[in-house]
Amino acid sequence: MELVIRAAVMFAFLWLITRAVGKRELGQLSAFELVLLVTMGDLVQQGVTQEDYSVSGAVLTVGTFALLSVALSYITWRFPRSRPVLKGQPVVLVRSGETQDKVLEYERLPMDDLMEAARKDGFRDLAEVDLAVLETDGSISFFHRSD
Amino acid sequence: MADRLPPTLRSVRDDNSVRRARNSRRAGLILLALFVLAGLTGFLGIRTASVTGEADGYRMTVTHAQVTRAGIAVPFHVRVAHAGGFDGPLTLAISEGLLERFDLQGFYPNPSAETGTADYVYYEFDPPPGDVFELNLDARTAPDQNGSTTVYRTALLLGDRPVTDVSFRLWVVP
Repeated sequence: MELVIRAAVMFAFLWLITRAVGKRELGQLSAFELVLLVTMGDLVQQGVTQEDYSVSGAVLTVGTFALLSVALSYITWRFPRSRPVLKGQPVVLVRSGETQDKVLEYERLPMDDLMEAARKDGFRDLAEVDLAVLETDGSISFFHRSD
Repeated sequence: MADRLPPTLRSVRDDNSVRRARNSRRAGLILLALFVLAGLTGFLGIRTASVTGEADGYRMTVTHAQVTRAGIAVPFHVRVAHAGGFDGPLTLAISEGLLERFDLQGFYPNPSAETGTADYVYYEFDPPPGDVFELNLDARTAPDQNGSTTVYRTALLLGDRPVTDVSFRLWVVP
């Protein structure tokens, strides 16, 4: 019983962490952050399974994580109002060629990263962008200006 | 109909097969939920039980793990009560096979002497003050000790005289 409870607590903690670090860190992992993520996984494992070596223990913890993930996605589908809390909300970074500096500051998104994303989408100048949206998964969607 | 679809769309599923896939996923999730529920209710360990043996005014209760998993701590507690206290040392004979399934960390209290045969390990303890003797075993389930329907015994001896004994099983979930 303890194992399932520990797994559920750790799931909630990991969800909180991913919501707290923000979208940018999720979308763009540097090599260091990737190593940090793997190390975090190891630390989490010790906290959840402790000295349980059994196969059934592994199945229980992975099963608990999987069921809670399904529950989260069901809640966001069934109750759309919960989506901003559970998944976050997309935010506008550029509107009609104008960069929303305050939003960049809130999201801790450097201008260089926005420029890089724009280059990858084929933009030479942000003035050509109608809308740039930072999605909940950390990626940036661009819309061309029609004029 | 699939032949009429463009090559990139031939593997795209229609409504019926999507429903079938959804039903299969639901069945899998229900199985998973049942397994997690079994873990949550303690069905997969750790479950404890107590057995009591009584003779000649001596009452021995052994609290033991009934279901456990590799690596986790297993309770093993022996309580011997006798009105009027104990005149001399008491000996506990524990199935050797049971001890093999544990990673032993220690006894509380430590035995004053110990010996063994092929089937049993004999631990002798000094008589405690008062009417009750209590023993705790600090142990974890050893890895690779799954299953088993063997019956294990713990017996109380005073000198060489067997007084009472209890038997139980231990199931280690893989």
